[in-house]
Amino acid sequence: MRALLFQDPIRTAVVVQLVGLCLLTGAFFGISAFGIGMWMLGIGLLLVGVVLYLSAVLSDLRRRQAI
Amino acid sequence: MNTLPIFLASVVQAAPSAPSGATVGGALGTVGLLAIATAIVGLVLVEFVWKSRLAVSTYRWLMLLGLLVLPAFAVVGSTGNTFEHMKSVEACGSCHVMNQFVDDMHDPGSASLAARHFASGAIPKDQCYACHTSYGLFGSAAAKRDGMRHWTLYATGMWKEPIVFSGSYPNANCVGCHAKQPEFRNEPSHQALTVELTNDRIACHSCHGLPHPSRTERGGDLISTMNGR
Repeated sequence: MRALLFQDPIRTAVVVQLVGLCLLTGAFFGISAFGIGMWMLGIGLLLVGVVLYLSAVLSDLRRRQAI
Repeated sequence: MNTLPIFLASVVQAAPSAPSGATVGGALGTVGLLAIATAIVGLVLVEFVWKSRLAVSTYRWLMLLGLLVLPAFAVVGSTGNTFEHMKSVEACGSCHVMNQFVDDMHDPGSASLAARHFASGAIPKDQCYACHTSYGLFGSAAAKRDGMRHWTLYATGMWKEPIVFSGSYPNANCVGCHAKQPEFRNEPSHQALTVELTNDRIACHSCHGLPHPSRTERGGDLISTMNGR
């Protein structure tokens, strides 16, 4: 996992985002504290995924001295 | 000067009507589900199938769409859907600490205000939400915010015993429905206590009984009735 995170942070962001999106569906199938807990966790993972993706893109642009 | 009619008129005008048919929450839920499905399929295809065939700029734009734009729609849609379903009694009862309140409301033998309202069929659906939502511009938003806070505390296990009702219960919540009834308007004690009722100096339940069973009737702290916590 650690190797994946450093070798391909965008793919890690995609995986995190996919898990987060799946967890979001917890809010759609019957209303329950468990489903809402999944939904909250999903939102957290989506934020992590976005931060990972943006930091990966920014560091790539910086490495290529585009910014 | 009798201010009861003015008080009643202001509350009745502010009383929301129950939504019928399609709701904003339902529409947002559909948008959210579509966004989730599109994002999942798109991300899998772009990252794991098409990545080598795409130009870097195209890949980056698609990633931006799949990782940022569609998830934003998914979050907004799922939040709207959650807020819509948050009104239901099932939503309140999904936390075990509320079981005693919901069970009491469904108990035909109970004398609590909640049970009497339920038994009479006065509030056909979303009974918890109907009484615990203050009237006014932000009443509904405040009720949903509180519901979300309660769920967060429950899901993270950060709630503490004993559960207590924080804040106050404005008489306007009761009067919002009862003001329409001639029995309420013509009751001499209501007319005599207009100022006190309007200013919440006397609570409706001080004469009409507790809305829910007291802590003693519930058997002490709720934690003692739960398994595994």
